[in-house]
Amino acid sequence: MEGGRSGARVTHNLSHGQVNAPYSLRRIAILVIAPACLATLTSLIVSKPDGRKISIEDALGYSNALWIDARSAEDFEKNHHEGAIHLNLSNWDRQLPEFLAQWELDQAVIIYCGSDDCQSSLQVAIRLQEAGVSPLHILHGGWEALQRIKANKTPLP
Amino acid sequence: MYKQIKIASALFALILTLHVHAFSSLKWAETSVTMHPDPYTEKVLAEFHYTNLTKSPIRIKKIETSCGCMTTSESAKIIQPGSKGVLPITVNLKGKYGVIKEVARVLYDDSKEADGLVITIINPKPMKVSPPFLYWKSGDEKEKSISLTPHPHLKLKYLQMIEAPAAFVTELVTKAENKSYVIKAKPRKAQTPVREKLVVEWKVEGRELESLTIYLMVK
Repeated sequence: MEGGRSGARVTHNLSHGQVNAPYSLRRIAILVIAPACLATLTSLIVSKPDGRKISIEDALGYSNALWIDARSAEDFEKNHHEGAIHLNLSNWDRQLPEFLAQWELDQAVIIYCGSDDCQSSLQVAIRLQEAGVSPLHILHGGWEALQRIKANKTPLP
Repeated sequence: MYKQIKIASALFALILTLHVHAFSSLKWAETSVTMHPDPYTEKVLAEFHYTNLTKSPIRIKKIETSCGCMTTSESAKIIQPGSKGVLPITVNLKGKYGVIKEVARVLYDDSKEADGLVITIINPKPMKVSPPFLYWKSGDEKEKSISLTPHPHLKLKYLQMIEAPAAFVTELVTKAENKSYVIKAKPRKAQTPVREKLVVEWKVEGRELESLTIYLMVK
């Protein structure tokens, strides 16, 4: 076992000379917009393998999609999306036959885990993409988004 | 324009002041760690170092964990001003693979705020199989392959195919002895939908025999 730590300290050199206001505002705008662009780009990259996550509305719009619940067995047993198969890396060997029995060629596969923070839906998507399963989608907001829809609340932005 | 900037600065200072007061808890050296255990590791221990930078004792009321697989022993502990310590959190990895992300929330007696400590564990399987299964569209007779790669920290003694599917022509090819293998396969009758499995068995030094099943199918 080995532990890893990462951290970085960034020092900003601030100049104290006079700065005209419009220039300062432009800098502030850049400081706000640049991280936002970076976050968007990161989100697109992370939402691979199919290049984008799917919204709950679009996911529910599929009439014949195969749903995969990549959460823990406990969470799946408590409740899950109707018709969803339980599949994640921890139960992969046991549950893969069920996926293979149900999956049809060119059938959309929608994978979800607990929320946007969890990793298991992405891991399952990567494994299925290796095998050539397509189209593949990761549900934006995961189980939390499904719950919001059920409760008739606003889906995640 | 300058007036607007002054107002914005004042608001910013106010928010910053409120923020600092709201988080007068422990100062953590790190609030997230990433761990890379070897295959077969059953438990990992993450240690979070803290310091009480306030002028009052801080009591950890309780620690909430994201799964029952986490254990710690620091709840109800009082940390005196200026003192340092370590919060150990053990994560049981039994049956868990891939990227495992768990969170511990540290709650204090005199604060509504909680500190979140994140443990990310990348727990590898002993044998990497890629892709995880093979399929052919009806009529496709092309040969396909699956690579089998034992984790580089393991000493593999041997690997062999112990069950071959009847509907497929298969061959196990050693690319590098005890380090890299490939299974080549193609369907005997590419028009007939079928799903079969092959079984690979291997032995790692000091461990019991292990096996895995790989599925091949014509859709």
